[in-house]
Amino acid sequence: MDKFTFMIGGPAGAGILNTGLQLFAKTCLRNGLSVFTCAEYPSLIRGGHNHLAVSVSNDEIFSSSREINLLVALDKLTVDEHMEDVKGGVIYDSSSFTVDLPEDILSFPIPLKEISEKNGSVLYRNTVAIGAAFGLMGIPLKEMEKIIKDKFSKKGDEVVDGNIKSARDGWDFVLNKPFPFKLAVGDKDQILLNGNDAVVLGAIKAGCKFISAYPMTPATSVLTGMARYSRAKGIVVKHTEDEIASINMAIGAGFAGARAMTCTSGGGFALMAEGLGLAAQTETPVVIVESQRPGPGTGMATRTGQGDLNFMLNASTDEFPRVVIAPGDVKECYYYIQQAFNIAEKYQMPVVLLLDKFLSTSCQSVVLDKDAGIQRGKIADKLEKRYEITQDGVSPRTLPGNPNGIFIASSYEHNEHGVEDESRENRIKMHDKRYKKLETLAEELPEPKLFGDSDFIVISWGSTKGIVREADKILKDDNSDFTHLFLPILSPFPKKVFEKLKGKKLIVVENNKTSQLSDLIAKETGRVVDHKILKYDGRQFNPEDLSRALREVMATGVKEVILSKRIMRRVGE
Amino acid sequence: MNEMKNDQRSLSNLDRSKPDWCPGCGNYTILLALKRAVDELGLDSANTVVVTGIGCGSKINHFIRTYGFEGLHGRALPVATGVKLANHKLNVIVISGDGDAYGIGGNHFLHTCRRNINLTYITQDNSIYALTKGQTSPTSPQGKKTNSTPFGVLEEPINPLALAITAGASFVARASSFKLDQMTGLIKQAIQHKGFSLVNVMQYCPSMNRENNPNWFNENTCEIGDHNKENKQEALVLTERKDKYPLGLFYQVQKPTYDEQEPQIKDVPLVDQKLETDVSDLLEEFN
Repeated sequence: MDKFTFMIGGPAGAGILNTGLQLFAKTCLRNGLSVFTCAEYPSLIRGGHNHLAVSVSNDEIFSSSREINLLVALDKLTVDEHMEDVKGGVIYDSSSFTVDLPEDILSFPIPLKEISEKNGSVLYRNTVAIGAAFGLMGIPLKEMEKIIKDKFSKKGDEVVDGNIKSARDGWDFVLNKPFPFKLAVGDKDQILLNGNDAVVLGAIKAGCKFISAYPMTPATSVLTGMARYSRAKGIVVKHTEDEIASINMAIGAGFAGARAMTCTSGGGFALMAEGLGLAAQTETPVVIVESQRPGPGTGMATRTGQGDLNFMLNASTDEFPRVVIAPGDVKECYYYIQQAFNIAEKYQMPVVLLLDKFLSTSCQSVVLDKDAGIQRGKIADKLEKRYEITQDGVSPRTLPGNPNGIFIASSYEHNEHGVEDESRENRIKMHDKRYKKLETLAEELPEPKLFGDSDFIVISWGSTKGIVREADKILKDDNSDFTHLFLPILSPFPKKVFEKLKGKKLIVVENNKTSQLSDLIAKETGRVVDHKILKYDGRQFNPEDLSRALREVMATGVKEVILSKRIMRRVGE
Repeated sequence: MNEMKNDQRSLSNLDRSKPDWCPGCGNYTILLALKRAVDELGLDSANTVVVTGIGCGSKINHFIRTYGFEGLHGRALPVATGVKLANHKLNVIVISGDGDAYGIGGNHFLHTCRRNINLTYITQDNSIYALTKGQTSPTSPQGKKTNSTPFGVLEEPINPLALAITAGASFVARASSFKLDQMTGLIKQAIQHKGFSLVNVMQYCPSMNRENNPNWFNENTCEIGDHNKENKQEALVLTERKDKYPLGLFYQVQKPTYDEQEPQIKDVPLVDQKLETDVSDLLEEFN
């Protein structure tokens, strides 16, 4: 089969997310398959309902799916929550609870608790279930056993042996039981990482030497990832007292000449807004990674959404140019964080790398083979005027320590020398100069690509990219094609590509209520988007529901569709 | 101010613009003391960064020939920390008013003290918000009438020296804007001190806080006298003295600075390290 989706669910603290990821997803990866994982969890440490979905395939895979081929339920709640999406089988812990499954579902009651306790600990429940899953799918246990050895060797032989025994017992338990979904071992050589991991690796690759940040879900693992590698890679990591300190410290480090960044989510970014303007006014490079979660206020800390686009584009006192980049997948996180540092230094302005919980925490199997290189822009050996007016808007800068270019960076309006100057003429000159940089950058950036040749253009940004591509696979089978326009850079806005779209029907897909991208397109190009498919329930789209909505939009011309789980609401009904 | 005009040494060229503070403002002597201190210590102007926030006195880095960063109100310390961690070979001097340092920037003040970052913090403490024309500050005395507290301040003033000592600063001193030589000496000592040093300068504001006039300064300040400067309790008792404000060095201890505890920058500052970084060895954990 071309795509198989496994899900494991249970209470928080049962090792669902970590063990599921390490044992199930990595075993698939090491068996040469493509993998995409997606975790859902509430904002707590124990209890509640956690689940991890892992889609695997012999082909490329761009997102998770709604349809589940094999559900592992460690508690009854998992069955209740996900049964409607199961098309295949359910493994459940028959030593803890019983369930009545519909006739078309293959039922695999396994006494997970009993088997695991016999092998040493109830904590091995997951391992028994995952061993059984591989037994049903026809994946050998060799790689899984190696992973168990790597993962648990620190905990001693007893734990390693108990887990291996548990996996084998699970495998044996389902021996000869019929299961229609079999996966052949593949030949891909990939690594498995999430968007935040990729940001960390890309930042280090790009020579980021300084990060100052305050923990905030779902951006925290950028901070902790940088901290983990800080000694090995010579990075100074500062967990600050608040996000105001984070951005100001990063600006100080950038002024001194280090490649510096911070990371946060919407609430922390709100505290950084004044600092963003400071970077713009002093023309100091800084990179801000913002991973969105639903708000406002504290909102939903562990869920996803794309509601911060307007905020990233507009957060400011007065007006100033900034760059907003929204990578669409893990590979792009790695590439665009490198570009973010190049752009921040070349254009001496703040650059926002905009992610969301779905992209930050979903793991994807990739090969990281595209690097951006390092370009630092105009760093001068000598200068008279730090803020000199130039043709491209960019003035050469010096770094402290250089005796031939001493200057002051001031957050007050200043003249070409950096000295405060509130004259009308100077104000216009300097304000224009700052905006000129964005125009220069816009000319340098490549035009976004159009995938396909249909009259329907599906426009997306950020993490919806992979889901649109999976929906495209489904619709191609149905002969209802569309063209995908993915916009990785939202400021400066890629206006030119819209000239090619005259007479086409524009469909915007995004994870918010008001369709912020549609407003942006209208503002920048004058084009009014024809159709919108939106979702704002704190969860990402899934390819099945999105393809259904797209089919409906293309067939009936309905203006706006709002999705949540299986439900589709047509606006105007 | 003749002395200042005649001063032709490297750090003292008024090549940017001239100060525009009110006649008699304490900022003039603070600027002079700072220039004398850096000149007498022979600091290299290119290797010195003066970071400020926003307030009358925060314009001070326009009048001294070093690298300067004039940031946001209350945020001078985080910027300076970033500068110092990126290039710990630089001399970093931070200057803020009392509102900037202890009001809006109070949180940064506490955390910078406990980090013991190797930089010098000079606060221009005139117990008033002067640039916004006369509102209460965190060091205004209880009962003081200002235009944001027309019926008198209800809160107690904070004690910045005690805060600094308890939060972990390793050098804490108080100076007066009327005592140029003493202030110069304390700033020099502060710059030479390894760790976070605070020089809280009691400053005369002739426009917005005339109550604390030269006579008041004469009557209400005194020399600190002899005491064990490494004794935290003795220092704290002195900061709590109610009859007069002692001037001088309250507290000084030697302890590891934040920057020297980071092995990543033990030898080479971050800014001098190679940017191209191999990550292939990090990929192993992802397969």
